[in-house]
Amino acid sequence: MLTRHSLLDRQVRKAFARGLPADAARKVFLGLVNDAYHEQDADRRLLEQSLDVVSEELTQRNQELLKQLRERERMEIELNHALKLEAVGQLASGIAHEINTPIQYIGDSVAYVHDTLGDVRTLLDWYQRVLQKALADGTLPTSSELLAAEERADITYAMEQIPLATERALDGVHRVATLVQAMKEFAHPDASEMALADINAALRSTMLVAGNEIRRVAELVIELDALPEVSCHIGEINQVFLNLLVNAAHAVGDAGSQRGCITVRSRVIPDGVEISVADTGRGIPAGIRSRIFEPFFTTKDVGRGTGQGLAIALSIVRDKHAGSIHFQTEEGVGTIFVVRLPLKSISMRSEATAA
Amino acid sequence: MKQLLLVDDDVHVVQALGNILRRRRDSWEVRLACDANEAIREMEAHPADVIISDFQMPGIDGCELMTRIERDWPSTVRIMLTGDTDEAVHRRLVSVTHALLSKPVSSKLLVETMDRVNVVLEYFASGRLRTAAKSSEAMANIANPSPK
Repeated sequence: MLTRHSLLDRQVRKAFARGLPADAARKVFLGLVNDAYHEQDADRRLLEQSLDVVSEELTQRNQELLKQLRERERMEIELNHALKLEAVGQLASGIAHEINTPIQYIGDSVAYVHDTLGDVRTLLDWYQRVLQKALADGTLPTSSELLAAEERADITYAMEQIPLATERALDGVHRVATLVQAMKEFAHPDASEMALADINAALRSTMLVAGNEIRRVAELVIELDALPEVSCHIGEINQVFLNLLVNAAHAVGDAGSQRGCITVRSRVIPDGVEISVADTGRGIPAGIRSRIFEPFFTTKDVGRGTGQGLAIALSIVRDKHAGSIHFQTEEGVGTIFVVRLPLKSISMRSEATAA
Repeated sequence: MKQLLLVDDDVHVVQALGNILRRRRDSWEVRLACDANEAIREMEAHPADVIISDFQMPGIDGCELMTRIERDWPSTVRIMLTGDTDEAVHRRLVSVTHALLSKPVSSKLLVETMDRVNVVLEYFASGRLRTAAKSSEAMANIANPSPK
C-alpha cells in the first residue's frame, strides 16, 4: 500500500528528525494525515448538515413570507372592499328610508286595489241578481236603490283611483328595483381589469344611493354632458363619487339649518372627462387644506367618517387611473371637487387589447 | 265627520294612505299635504282633528311640524310616521306626538289606529274622558300633593 515518494520521504525525515525508520515514520505520518482528513471530513459533514438545516429553515421561512405576502394582499383587497361597504353602510339608514317610502305606498296601493276589487265584485254580483230578476219577472230596482248600491261599493272613487293605485305600485316597484340595482353595483367587488364604462350612469346610481343623505340637506342640481365611455374600474370610480357626494352633503348639513345646494356636473375635456361636485357648505378651513387627502385625517365625528374617503379617492383616481383630483374652496361659500379621468386607460393590458 | 290631515313629502305616500282610509269614509274626511308649510296652511284654513305626518321631510321636518301643531292646535291628535330606527330620534318624536307608527305601516294597523283615535275623540266629545282625566288628576293630587 505504501508507495515510495521522494518528496514525501524528505518531508517525513525532516519532520521526525531521523528518529524513526523511514517506513515507520511514513506510516505514522500517513496515520496523522488520515486522522486529520477524517476529522476534517467529519467537520465538513457537520458543516454540510448544518447548512442543510439552515437552508431548509430558509426555505420554510421563505414559504411563510410568501404565505404572509399573499395573506396581506388578500387582506388589502378585503380591506378595500370593506371600506367601500363601510361607505355604503354609513348610508344604510338613508337607504332604508329610500326603500321604506316606496314599500309603504306599494303595500297601501295593492291593499286598496285588492279590497276595492272585493267591493266591485259584490256590486257586480248584485247587478247580476238584478238582471236575473228583471229577466224573470221584469221588476227593476229603483234609481235610489241603484245609487245606494253604487255608493256602498264607492264605485266612482274606485274607478278613478284603481288605475292610479296600480300605476303608483308599479312606479314604486321600479324605484326599489333601481335602488337595489345601484346598491348591487356598489357592493360588487371590481373585476381585476378595467372595462369601458358609462360615467354618467355611475354618477346617477351614486346619486340614488346617496339620495336620502343629500335631499335632507340640499337641492341636487344635475348637469351631465354626453360623455364617451371611459376605460376604468367603475366600482372604484363609484366609490370616489360616493365619497365626494357624502362629503358635500355633510358640508352642507354642517353649515346650518338652511337648505343648501349640491351641483354635480360632467363634461368632456381634451383627452378625458371631468366630473365635479360642488357644495354650498362652510368651505374647508385654510389650516387643514393641505391635510384632507391624508389617510385617517378627519374632522368628522366617530361613526360619521374614518378619514379614509378622500385618501381612497386620491389613490383610486391618481394611482389607479392616472387621473387627477383637486378642489377649490372658500370659507363660508363652499367647496368644489374636480375629478379628471383620462379616456385612455393606464392599464397596459387593456391598452394592448385595444390596439 | 272628522278631519284627518296626511303629510308626507312623497305625494304617492299620502295618496296611497288616503286610499286606505277611504274604507272609513263615513268617519274621516281626508286631506293631503306634501310638506310642513302646506300642512300649516291647511290647518290655518281648517284645523284637522288628527294629523299624521312623516318625520323625515326636507325643510321643516315632522318633529318641528308637530311642535308647531302642539302649540297652535293643542287639541289635534298628532301621529308620526317614521322609518327612522335611531333611538335618540324616537325619544324626540315621542315627546311631541301621541303615537308613533313605524314605516312601512300596514294598512290594517293604520285603519285600527284611526278607529281607536275615533273612539277616543268621541269619548272626549261626550265629555266622559275629560271627566275621567280630571278625576284622575284630582286623585293624583290627593295621593301626591304638589309642593305649590
